[in-house]
Amino acid sequence: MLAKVESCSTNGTDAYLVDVEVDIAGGLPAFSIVGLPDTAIRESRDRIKAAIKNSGFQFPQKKITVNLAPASIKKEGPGFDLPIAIGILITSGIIKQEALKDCLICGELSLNGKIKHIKGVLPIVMKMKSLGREKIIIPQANAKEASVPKDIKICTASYLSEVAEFLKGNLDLKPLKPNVKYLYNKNSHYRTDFNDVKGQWHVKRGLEVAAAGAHNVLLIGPPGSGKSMLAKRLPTILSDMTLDEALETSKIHSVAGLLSPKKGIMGTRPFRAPHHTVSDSALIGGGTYPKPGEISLVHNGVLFLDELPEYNRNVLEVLRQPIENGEITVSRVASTVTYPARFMLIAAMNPCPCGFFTDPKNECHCTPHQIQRYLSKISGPLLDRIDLHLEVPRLTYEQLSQKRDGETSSEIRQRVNQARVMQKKRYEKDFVGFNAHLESKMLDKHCILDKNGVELLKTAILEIGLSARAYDKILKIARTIADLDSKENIEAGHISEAIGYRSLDRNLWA
Amino acid sequence: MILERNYRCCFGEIDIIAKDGDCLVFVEVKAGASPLFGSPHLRITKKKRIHIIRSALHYLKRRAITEVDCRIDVVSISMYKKERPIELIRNAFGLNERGVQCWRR
Repeated sequence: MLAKVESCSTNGTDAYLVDVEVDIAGGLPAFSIVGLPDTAIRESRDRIKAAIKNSGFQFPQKKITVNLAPASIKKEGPGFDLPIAIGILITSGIIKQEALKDCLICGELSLNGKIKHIKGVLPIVMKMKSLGREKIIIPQANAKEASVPKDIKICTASYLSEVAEFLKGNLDLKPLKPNVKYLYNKNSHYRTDFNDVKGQWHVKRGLEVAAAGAHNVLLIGPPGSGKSMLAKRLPTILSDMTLDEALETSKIHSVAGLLSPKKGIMGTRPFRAPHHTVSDSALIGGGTYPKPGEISLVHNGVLFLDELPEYNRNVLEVLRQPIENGEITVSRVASTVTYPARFMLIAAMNPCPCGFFTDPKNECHCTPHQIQRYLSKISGPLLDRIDLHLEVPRLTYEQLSQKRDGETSSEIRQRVNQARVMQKKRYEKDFVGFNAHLESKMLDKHCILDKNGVELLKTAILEIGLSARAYDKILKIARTIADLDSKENIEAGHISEAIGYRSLDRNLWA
Repeated sequence: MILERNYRCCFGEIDIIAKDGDCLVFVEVKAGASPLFGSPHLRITKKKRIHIIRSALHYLKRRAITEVDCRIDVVSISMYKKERPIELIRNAFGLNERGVQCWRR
């Protein structure tokens, strides 16, 4: 006797259909699963046995063979427990095969027959919607993330017996109502605010510029000056996340199993700060069957690297390509997966190994050689991709003791939104998102300076000795500042502010 | 209904082969004289289980029996107790026993 149940799994952020075929035959009792299962699926035999028994059904004492088709793709995770169990119930005559017409089933089983949360439900339901499937049964714990797409009947269940009764026609599982707008609005608030930070006006302004033009930032300052605090609040001033962006990011989090069952959708821009002992594959994604890394988890958000020189050199170097391309292709022998990774990089570091080099109050004990070695841990190509270098000074007592009176995040965000709208309009034909992604040939077209601006830039290059690289960067930053000012042309004031954001070019150190 | 006793083949021996309704049952009987080493059925080692499974498969093949439900039971008799209790464990183990699978193919 043969039963067929349709299920689904994910490969990268894409979902694909899996046919679960269950064959039952006489002979000595056995239970084998074929079709490239991983260890979690092979172990599902024991879970399914116990779950069926504890749900009040009899586990058939026969030779059971399960096939997961297409047999050429490696299947991962415990999401096939429920479809296999349903297949066994069909072969033992408890459920009719016809009941499963057009119905997809996914879910992990626990020993008592409870259906547990699985990874990757959001990509699965979105794929099923595009394939035009009508019905899908998923775990109750995944209900929120699954209620995102419309036009598809999604039923949730908590117990194996519930699914069995539903397929027998004795019980009705209510389909979920799509409430993506509600979930999105509910989750699109930040807990932190920019006016939590006292003083540091020029750093805040610098971060506003960075947020407006999607420039990467490096914060340099002594310990305790508020670098981490400022970085953590950067997502709150980024432009509002659109629903499409939220879905893209939620998809990656769903595949990684990080989407909270309470939230269901990421309404806020993600912020992640991996520790400096992070490995390169943890950062960009990896594994025999590649999983998303930190840079994909912060897709449309902010990646914060605190104590930048402490990271392993190879870890920092792998960042170069995804920063340029906005996506990362992880190739392994077994499979190749492309994950999106469009993120803003914000890094923080001390000016020297002891941290007090720029601090007026504390004395620095580092030798010039030590400082040089410390700074050289960050490679030129990576520094090339960081547009703004902001110095974060230590706060004085007066600044610390004053009241919080800065602008709130939402005020700053409004200006950022407006600047981003301007950029979008300007770059419609150029296939560029933001000022930070401008290529040098576009600079001539879009960054038009007035007379004073040209003079000032010339003086800067001659007097301070700015490099050609710095020249391009200054133009890009000045473009963003002009956008924040709602000006079409770049003026001298914008240029001088932009030069101020390139402190590493001015050879202040060593 | 008992079909066969002490079925011997090159793989080992099965104590009893019986029919329980439609189901063919291979029974391993284990008696223990002393409680010192635990219940008798605990003394069926992995090696012994593989012997029983292989012998059972041999029996099925020889008799050309296909598509019949089968199971392996264990009967354990504790000789050291006064009443000599007989314990029957239905479907004690199956083909999923490690080491059998590769041989089966």
